Amino acid sequence: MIFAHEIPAGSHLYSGEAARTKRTIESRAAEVLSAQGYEEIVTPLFSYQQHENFADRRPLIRLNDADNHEVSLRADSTADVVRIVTRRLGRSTQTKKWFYIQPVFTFPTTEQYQVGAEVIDGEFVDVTRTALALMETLDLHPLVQIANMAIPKLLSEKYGVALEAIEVMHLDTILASGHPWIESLVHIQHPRDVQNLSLYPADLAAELSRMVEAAGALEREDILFSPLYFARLRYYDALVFRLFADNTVLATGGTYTVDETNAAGFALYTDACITQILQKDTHG
Amino acid sequence: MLTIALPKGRIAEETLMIFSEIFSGAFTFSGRELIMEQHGFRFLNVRNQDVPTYVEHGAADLGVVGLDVITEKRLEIIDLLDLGIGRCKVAIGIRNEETLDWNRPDIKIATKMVNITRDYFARKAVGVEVIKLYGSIELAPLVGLADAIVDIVETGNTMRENGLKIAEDIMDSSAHLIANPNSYYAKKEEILDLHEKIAGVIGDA
Repeated sequence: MIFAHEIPAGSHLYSGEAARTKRTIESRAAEVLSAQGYEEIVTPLFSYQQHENFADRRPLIRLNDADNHEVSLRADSTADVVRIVTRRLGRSTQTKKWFYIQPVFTFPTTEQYQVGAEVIDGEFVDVTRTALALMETLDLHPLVQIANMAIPKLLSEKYGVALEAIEVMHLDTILASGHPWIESLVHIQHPRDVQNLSLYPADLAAELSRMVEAAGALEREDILFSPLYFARLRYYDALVFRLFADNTVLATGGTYTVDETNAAGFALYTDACITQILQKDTHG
Repeated sequence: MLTIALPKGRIAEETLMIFSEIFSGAFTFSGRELIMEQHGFRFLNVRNQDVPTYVEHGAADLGVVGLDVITEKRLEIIDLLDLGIGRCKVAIGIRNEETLDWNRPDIKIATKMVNITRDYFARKAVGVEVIKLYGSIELAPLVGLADAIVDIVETGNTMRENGLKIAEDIMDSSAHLIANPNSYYAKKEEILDLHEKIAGVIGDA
């Protein structure tokens, strides 16, 4: 039985203070991003290409168009934005910096409001700075976690550590790989823990060095390093970041490749930010 | 300070014995105490099935929970270490006088572990109707509610006493030390230090 006032699990109903907070987040984000030269875009809710972004397609809400081609509700904005701006709008605009304020939907009835930004040929440090500037304007101060998707890929493809073990961070299996440097790699938590790159094979050392350079450029004390963290979205292929506070992920982003276009971007999770802001207002 | 959720009962006691061995002190919940602080750790005394909830939501940084629960609940946690305690199996049980007929198109299974059961039978390409029960699973085949059960087996006594036998093992389980992913990233040094100490003690045992 469904009650007249019932809303599906995973969907959101905002009113009063919560709705005002949502509007504030979105307006401030629009101001900050416009001031930094980003153009706004609103992409279709329906998409033909969503399945290409997900290793596991179960989260997609799928239906069919009039010709029985598979269509999904947008579960991720990044790849669609990049494809649209490079293929559809590419000839008519020189803009490389885009932002969007729109929700994504996953099976069965989860909706998530997001503010996203994508920069064609963009740099990791620039988009991370922008995401942190947005957090600052919202008076949110999350921990900054940096990882590098090239490291889990190297470990799996070249050094025999199963990607499944890395995905779920099965520590016993990872340590059992027996490499003389694996324990040091697992223990890395801060940029200062990566002082002796000669411990690692050259390819891993190069990827760790990219993390160190990025952390140095961000000039923050609170950066966490997680070289074994694995992001589940297919297109992330190098440096990524997560901003989290109190077990809540407020934003994620990084550098990626979609259809041979290199870009960098992030998504700010509006619902999580609303919760954090309201909690702060309640508990101080 | 690290907060650790422990499942009430024997596994909590055995885990706390490991802490006593490492930190040379008394690690015990007194009476009906639900929170105990000792040696810079805060222990929570919770029901077995609730341990993953405390860890997943970040109310506890770490927890001790069976591999069967981790598999059943498909948890987004970090599996740090097999503690080697609370060993048991997840198995299919049937009545003593029967054999499990894999060719039947409609096997009915009673269980608490719906996901483990569905996955196991799906891998064998056998259609199954899973009936969710919350306790006394052994009763189901005896009264015709189900053809078989999927349940935790430690000694096999409960099944034997109810006229059931093991038809097939599904998986081995034991208590694992798990971590909330964000706690792991934010408190990695403390967590890995503890991991190393516990691994040392259970390695020596």
